[in-house]
Amino acid sequence: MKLGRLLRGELAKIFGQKGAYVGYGVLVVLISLVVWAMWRYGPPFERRMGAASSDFVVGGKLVTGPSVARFIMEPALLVLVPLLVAAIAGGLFAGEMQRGTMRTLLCRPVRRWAVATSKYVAGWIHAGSLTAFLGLFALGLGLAVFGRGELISFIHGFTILTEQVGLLRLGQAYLIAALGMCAVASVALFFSQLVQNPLTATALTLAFLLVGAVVGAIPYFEWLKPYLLSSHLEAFSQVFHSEVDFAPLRWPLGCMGVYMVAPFVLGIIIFRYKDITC
Amino acid sequence: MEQPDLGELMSGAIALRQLGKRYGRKWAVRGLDLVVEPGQIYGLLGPNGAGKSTTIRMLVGLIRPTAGEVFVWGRKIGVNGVAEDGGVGALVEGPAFYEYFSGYRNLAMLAGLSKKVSGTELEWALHQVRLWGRHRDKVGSYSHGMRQRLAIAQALVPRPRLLVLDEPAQGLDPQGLTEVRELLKELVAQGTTVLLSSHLLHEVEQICTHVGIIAKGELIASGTVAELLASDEGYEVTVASAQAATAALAQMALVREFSQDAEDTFTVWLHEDEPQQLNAGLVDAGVGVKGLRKKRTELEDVYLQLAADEQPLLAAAGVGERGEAP
Repeated sequence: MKLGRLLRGELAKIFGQKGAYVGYGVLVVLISLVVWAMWRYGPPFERRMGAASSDFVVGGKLVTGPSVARFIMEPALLVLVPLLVAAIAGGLFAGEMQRGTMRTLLCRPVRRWAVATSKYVAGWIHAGSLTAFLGLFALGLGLAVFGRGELISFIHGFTILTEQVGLLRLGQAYLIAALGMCAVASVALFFSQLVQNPLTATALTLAFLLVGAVVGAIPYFEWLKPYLLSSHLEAFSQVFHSEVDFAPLRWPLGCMGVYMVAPFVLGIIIFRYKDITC
Repeated sequence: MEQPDLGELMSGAIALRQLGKRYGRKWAVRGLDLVVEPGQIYGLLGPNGAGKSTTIRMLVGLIRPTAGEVFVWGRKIGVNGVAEDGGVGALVEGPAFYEYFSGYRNLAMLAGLSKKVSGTELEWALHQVRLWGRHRDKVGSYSHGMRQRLAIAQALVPRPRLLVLDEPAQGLDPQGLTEVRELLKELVAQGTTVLLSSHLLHEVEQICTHVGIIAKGELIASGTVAELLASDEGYEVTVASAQAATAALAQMALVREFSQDAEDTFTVWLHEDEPQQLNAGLVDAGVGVKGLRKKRTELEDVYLQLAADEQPLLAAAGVGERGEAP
């Protein structure tokens, strides 16, 4: 099966470069710093807790392994991971065009849709693996340093979930986050098809997310907000409420799904007829 | 040039019919008709920017023609390029590989996209281009010549029925050139058809059975090397007095065309191949003939002569002024 061979080749190209591991290294550094800071100074919300200490009686631990995996999500998944995903996905087409390897590849008896599909799927796998690594490493290090316990979420309200429920919610949240990162990868891959420089593709993707975030914050464009990818990258936080209502999640999930699939479909059509002049 | 008929299109290893590619308003290739028969080594010659690489890119499906059609082994090439035919090995515009992989891994990965290739076949290809021994090194550490040899190796696996090589001699040392020449001859003897583009006329003359000359995107001459050389044969005449010879040659009905190459040397083209009459005519006109010999035309002369009409720069580089006979 050619598609399988192409996909294996694409994954080998991504994970065969040292650059691909820079992203994982950056996440290791970030998570380690956060865990160290929590160990050294206590949880970041302790001061707020202290201010309201007359209303709360804290029994047990405030910081646990699941709490670390929850706490790391916003700082990592809204800026850093999209950047790392875009940096790799942005090079999958443009990098090959720049190096000229695209013409070597397309001189083989492969169908263009299969080449494009393998690149998109490889980009999604990388995005998913980076998100999973973030969650697993944060959870693992959190458990190693702080041990097991309830998941205490203090972003968008204060929620305490039992360990079992917390782990389930963490799994759901990281799945939603992975979908968002796959959508970011699709956008980066699409831009990568339009330019011949990987840096340009990465910059365009980040600009797309940033402009979306700015536009979504301007009241005049309020009507546009539900359709912007940047509006939904934080959708995972909704699963950390005490009771989860999945109905409001349908639109963000659908929207991210469209952002994941639409560039892919459009990209295949464009790539099929593109002149390879590199 | 005559357009290939349906029979030629279907029987040729490669057939291009009225092939054209336009970028904006400029035609890079226009109205190109070309047939490469099985077993030929066809050399596509032309100056930089003539349209050789564009033609090859259209042939392997990297770019889509604006006009015309490409047939490989009688099958029309569609948007998937040579995906329609797995028996095509190609090297287009210089080597390009994944630098962080070894030569062997690059080769295995690319060849694996054609069909399952055995290690023996990969080893054979690497031996052919003298890369066995360095095959485990990363391509990033290869010199340009080594990369070019690897590019030729990747075009050889799996064994192609048709080999398309764009400037295969680029970056090769003299030993490498000789080896590639021998390799191509061996492959053709085993049934492979080769189309190669080059600006190294001497190489093309030595290796190709057929030649096409392309200039400004159009095929201006095509045929066997012998035909092209024969088309321009002339006689080199050395005389005692250039002035008298010029007057005599201009008066002789036998003379089709002549040019003065040096102070006492002329190249003369005849309507009929009768050099004895030329000699007699000159002697009768009182011109002292010091020497008369058939000029050995090289492909370079033909190429420069043909391209001169198309490109003034080439004319300035190598083509002398010609006097017209009556």
